[in-house]
Amino acid sequence: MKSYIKISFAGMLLILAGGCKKFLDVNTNPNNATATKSQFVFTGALGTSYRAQAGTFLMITPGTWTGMYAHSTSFTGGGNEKQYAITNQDFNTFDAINDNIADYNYVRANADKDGVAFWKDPANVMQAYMYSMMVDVYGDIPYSQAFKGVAGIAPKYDKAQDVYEDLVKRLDTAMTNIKAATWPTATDVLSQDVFFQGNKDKWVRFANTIKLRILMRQAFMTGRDTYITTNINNTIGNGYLLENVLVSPGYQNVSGKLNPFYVNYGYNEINAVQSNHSYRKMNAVIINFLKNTADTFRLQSLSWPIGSTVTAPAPAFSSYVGIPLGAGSGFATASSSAIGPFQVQQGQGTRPGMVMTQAEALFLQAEAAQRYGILFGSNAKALYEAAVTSHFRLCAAPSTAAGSAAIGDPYAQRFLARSVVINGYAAGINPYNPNWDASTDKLRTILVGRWLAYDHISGVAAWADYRASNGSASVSVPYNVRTTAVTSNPEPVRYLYPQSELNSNGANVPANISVYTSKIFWDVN
Amino acid sequence: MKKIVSTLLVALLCFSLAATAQVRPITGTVRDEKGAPIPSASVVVKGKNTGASADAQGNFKVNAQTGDVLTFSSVNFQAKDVKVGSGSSLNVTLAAESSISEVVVTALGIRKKPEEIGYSTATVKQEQITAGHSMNLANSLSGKVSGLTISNTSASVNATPRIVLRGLRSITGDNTALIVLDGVAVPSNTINYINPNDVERVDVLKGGQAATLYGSDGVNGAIVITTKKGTKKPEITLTTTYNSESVSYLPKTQHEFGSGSAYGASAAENFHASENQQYGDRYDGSMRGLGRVLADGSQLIYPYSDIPSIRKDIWNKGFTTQNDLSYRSGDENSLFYASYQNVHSEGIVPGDKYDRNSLRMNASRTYGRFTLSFDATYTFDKANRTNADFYYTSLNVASWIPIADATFRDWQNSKFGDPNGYYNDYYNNPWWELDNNRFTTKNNYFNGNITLDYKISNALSLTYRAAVATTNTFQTVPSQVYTYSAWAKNSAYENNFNLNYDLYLTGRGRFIARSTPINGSFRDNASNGTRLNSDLFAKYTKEFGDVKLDAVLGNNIQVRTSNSLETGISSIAIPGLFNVNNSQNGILTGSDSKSEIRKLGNYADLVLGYKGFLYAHGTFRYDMSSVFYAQDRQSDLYSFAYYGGDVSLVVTDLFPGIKSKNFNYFKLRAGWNKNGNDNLGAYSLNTVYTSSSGFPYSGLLGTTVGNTTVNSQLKPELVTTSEIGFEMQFLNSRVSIEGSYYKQRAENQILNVSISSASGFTNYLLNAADVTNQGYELDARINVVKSRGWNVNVTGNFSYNFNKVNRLFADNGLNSLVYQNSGNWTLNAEVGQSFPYLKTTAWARDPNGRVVIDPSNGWPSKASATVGQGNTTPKYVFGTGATVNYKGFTLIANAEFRGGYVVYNGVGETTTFTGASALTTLNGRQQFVWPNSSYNDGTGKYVANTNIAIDNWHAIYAGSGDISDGNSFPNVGEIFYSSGSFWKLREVSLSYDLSPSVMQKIKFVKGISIGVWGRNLMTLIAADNYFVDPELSNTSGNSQGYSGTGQTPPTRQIGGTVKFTF
Repeated sequence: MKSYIKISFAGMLLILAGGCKKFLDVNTNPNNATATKSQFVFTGALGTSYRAQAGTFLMITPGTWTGMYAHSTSFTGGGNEKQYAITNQDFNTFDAINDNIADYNYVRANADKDGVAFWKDPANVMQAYMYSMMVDVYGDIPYSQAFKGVAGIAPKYDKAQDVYEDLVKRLDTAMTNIKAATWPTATDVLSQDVFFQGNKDKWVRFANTIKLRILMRQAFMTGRDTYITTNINNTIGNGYLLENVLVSPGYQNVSGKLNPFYVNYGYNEINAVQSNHSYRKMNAVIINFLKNTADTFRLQSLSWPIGSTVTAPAPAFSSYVGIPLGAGSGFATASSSAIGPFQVQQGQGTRPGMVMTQAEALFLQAEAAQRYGILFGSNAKALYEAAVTSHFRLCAAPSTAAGSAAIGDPYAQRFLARSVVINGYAAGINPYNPNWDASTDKLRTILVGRWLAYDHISGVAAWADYRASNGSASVSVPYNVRTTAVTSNPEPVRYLYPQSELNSNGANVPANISVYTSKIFWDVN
Repeated sequence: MKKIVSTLLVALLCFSLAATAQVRPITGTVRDEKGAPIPSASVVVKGKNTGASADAQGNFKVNAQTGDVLTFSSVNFQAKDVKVGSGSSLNVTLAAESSISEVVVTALGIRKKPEEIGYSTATVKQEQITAGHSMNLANSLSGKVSGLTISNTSASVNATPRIVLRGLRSITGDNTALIVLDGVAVPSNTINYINPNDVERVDVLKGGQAATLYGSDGVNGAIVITTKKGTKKPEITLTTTYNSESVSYLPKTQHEFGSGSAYGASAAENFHASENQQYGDRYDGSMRGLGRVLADGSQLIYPYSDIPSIRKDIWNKGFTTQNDLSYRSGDENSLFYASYQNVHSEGIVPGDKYDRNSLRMNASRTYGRFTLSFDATYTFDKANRTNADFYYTSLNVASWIPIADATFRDWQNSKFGDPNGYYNDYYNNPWWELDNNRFTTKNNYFNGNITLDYKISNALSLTYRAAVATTNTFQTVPSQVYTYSAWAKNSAYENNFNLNYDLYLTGRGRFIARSTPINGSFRDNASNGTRLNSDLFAKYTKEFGDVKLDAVLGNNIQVRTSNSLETGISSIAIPGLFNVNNSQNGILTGSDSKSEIRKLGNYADLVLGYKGFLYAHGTFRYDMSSVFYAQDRQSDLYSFAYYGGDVSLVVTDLFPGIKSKNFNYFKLRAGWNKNGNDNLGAYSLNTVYTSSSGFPYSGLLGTTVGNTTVNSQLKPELVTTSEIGFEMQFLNSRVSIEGSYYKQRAENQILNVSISSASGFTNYLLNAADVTNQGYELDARINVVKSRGWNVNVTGNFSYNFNKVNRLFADNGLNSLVYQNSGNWTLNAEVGQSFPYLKTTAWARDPNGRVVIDPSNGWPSKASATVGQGNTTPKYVFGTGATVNYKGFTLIANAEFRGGYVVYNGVGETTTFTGASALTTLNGRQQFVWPNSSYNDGTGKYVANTNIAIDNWHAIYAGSGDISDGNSFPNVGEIFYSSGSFWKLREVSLSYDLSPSVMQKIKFVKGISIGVWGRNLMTLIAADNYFVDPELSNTSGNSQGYSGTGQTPPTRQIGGTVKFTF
């Protein structure tokens, strides 16, 4: 009896052991995909790139420090932005950008396998675009050793300037490859490209414009002119943006699917106001600038008057109230201007996102033409005026590739024709003249125009321009953006590496970084 | 049960009944210490193998002669020898069993004698479990066992406690004890719904060694619950219990200053009738308007003076009723038990309710060699609680506002309680929020098993047990929609405060009405968790001369599945209709998650005993776990073996010479084992690719690479434990002492470590880290008085536990892993420290330790780096209890101390910001020189500050009320952590059993017991903790140590109970 039991028991264990593998084979994830295709990652990453650009730490925080945004005094908080009291806990955009670049890396590594090799080069262009923003706020970053997965969990850092130079090479390679490649024409494939719908030429022009921005960022550095002009000229034939770059995955009026800028700083899917719309208001610098330049058209586009609705006739200038950065009281939500219809028009949360403007491309060309005499088919004056006109057109019809010439052009012409010196921020300080011929400081005229064109498009690009050009009284763009809060802190010149990176890669993170003095290499002030 | 045992005993002993001379019948009654008859007690004539058993009334009749010694015994009583004198009648009183004669219920429900066990165990008996009448079994164990820590996430209804034995050993894995119900490992929520009155005893197996046979879940020790079974004598009990519950204490708040904020240059100018903050002027008793003049011209007018009790008045007096009915019966071959319990509880949070109904049944029947038994619990409960942060909003109302009045409470009928007309510009009426943001959770629990025993021979038996535990949860989360009036949004205005503040007037409308529309929302969730458990094991027990062999060989299969399906809407169209088809835009959101885990284990357990004083025990288990399984993975990654051994030696039996009347028992034990732990969720082996934010859009897919990469060699972690201990008894076993020392080492823990995002991932799941966890435990029990009907027992237990992170992940220099953080504090696992470890922001200090002030305003500045403040789980726990019996009276008292740790009190941040905290009245909000401070003289030298006082602005407002000032109180975490030490008088219970003489007159009732009791009657907290109950934490996970307003204030309960036995 005993032995019978023992044998049957042992036998049962054996049967169980034999069936073990089958019994255990229930570990296939029913909740999430464990594989994907490069094309899906590519599409998603394009959407995420814009989401990052429209996020607080690339749009609002740098915009706050360049006179675009300030805090409603109905809210408490924002001390770090108002008082420049910044710690490693603040403004972590490092991880978000890396996350996005990692997705493009996946595309570049797997596109051949997935039969979409043609997306590799646009992915490379986007990596350069995102990397340039990362350098602009962090300086030295992990680059050459980055994205090696478990083989490089603590990558070493590269010098910011080396990264910048490599980005230029990267863009050159990408442009060459795109031009040489044959792209498919099937609409379902082209629709994966939510920037340019598979238009090769537009990708090349976009890449060349990013390259131009990267190069011109270094224009205030001494001894850099040859490098800059050589690199502009070697791809000048590729051309630059002919229209605004939009991202249009098909934003929907559904929670989580709205245009990210709109939902971040405007309204939600049921037209309910977001607290950031009440909190993140227009800065006095830009509002007063637009008022002082009598730029009613763009004032009404970029900002809302106080009160809840705009009714005809057009509101008086006194209805537009900007908040001085750091104000502690007196600028309640209802008594200050909100982010304007250019980006936030209630009920229009499905508009495409605005990634880069044609105006920026033209302003960059105008600056290069003015500085180096490079002719991009037209001279600096023509480029400048085209840039201003393009921005007016976009303000007339936001979230469109071409804007509206019919509405925008008359206002632009009137603006450009104003051949009087206009006080920028306060009487007698840093006058500014929008008319090219009358302008006594043409570089300043270009840079101020570009600053306006960055409003609600790219806070970080405006902040980089500001830091690269600040200190030189003639080009200080814009003027007097410093906080009015009581603090002995100087203006920040960068972000601090985030705590997450210090924790996980502490040995490689550059030491002794000061948020006030550790400047980015192109910041020569 | 008693009868069976005694009958068996008698039958065995009477096997060779011999006739003897001069034998006469002796009759009498066996009673317990309270005078109640002990039915079926056995009476044996010592040395003669004759005997009898008592009847149901305790009456016995036995044949014996003068000089014979009669041994009286019964289950749960100490045996007693009585010498037969000349008389023919004997009345015998048996004392309740003391520890030494007990058995311990160990793994698989196997009962062992204490001397056989080489590891640390403890038993909590029924009278201790039910002394405090907690409806949650776990809470009734607090402070009663060394090494056991019970902590809570909330004092509201239906809070679920966290049960930890011997501290934390896994940094991110589960550290909570395994729950075992009648031999079956069950999901941890079981302890929350089991009826404590059904519980016969709870055995605590403290270390991992004790639980090897349960598989890897036992690595954290086990709480072994044994329920009541049927009795041969039918018995019906009816118990009814009622208790009230009230808030015992609240954070210290200020009662001097009223509403106001940063409006002027003085406290008087700061006064504002619609303000949320409390930085106005000092109360002066004048009549002042509160809030706005409403659209109809009316306004509230109240005296501007403190209402001392206001912050307590808002809380309800809660109550709980418990009604229990149980029935037990049986015969020679069958046992049957059934019970029903109804619990109704209303909490201190107004409107929070909980109902629970439990049915339990178990039965067994023996057919020859077969015994078949089953055991089933069905419980359904319903909790209705608020989702609003009522504690926060109500605590922060200025103390001159009678917020507990119907004016605010009755928002349905009061225009000042309606969101349009509520006075506060920044927060809605707490009563409106309380009633309109709720969640209802309904659970259906079933837990049952069927066991089949087959006794192959006297030595060998085979058991098969199939068990199922399932929880079905339905949750609805309604949040009401509200449409503000145009007046509230656009035209509300003020005219009764400092008119100089004209800027404010430009922003008309109630701020909250303009900025925060109340759209409402609704969510429905249905989830299910089921665990199937199959155990097949053979037991072999045989004595070979002096050697006794106990062997178990078994197989265990577990299948755990869970499903959760949720759908919701983010707005409500028709007010009051909570259905997912009632949204403003017709759009549903939802989620769906499933998981299945399978485990397979084979095990062997062997005990060798020598002469009843030396026992050697070894275990071995081989497990396979599906969470590590993938087709391409090697078998050694998903299968793992673990083993252990222990030795127990009863020294007093080895050297009987040392045994004396005063030194009765001395046992030494030592154990070592290695436990596997598959601390991993299902489907964790692969990086996942989820939709990019916003995607998919109309058929356009967009995915993103997941942030976690997984080590391809990921495998179960191993924990090794060594333990030594002793047990001693003195003075006729009236004093017993038990002590243990243990040390655990957990290496290669499964850890999700942070890696540089520049690697392409932010997290890396791998085997890393090295943690040691060690401690001492001491338990003592003293029978202080035992005479003339008095029986006084005092118990004490002490435990010291200390863990340390030796290494996290050396490869990238990671030395800190964040559990939870906010701007002011982080809870970490930090290399070189005990975990969880609290770090906070702190004042800047000079090399002499003085606070560094800003000379321009006299206010201290904040250091740029966070400062470590200490571990956040108790290092020392001391529990003490007393049980006093006198005739029918029983007094039980238990108290607990926890110390050696710090906690972070989130309530402090919010109440300093609003000005409600007593902290904000530092120096009466007058200027003063910060004590022991210094400033930088500009050259880097720190000069003692004796004359720079804080400026007026910081004194009246900014120092504590301005969160946008980085150096204000709410931004300096150092201020809000405190020692977590406390003393709690857990329970005091006095009960009285009506004397048997009275009972005999009432024929149909066998017993009546009445009692009064209280729980948490007194709490002493550390002097620096003037905030909250340090026992509460905002999570039931590992990152203990933070509590905020999500944790309701601590309570005390007072109640009474009546129990009838039929």
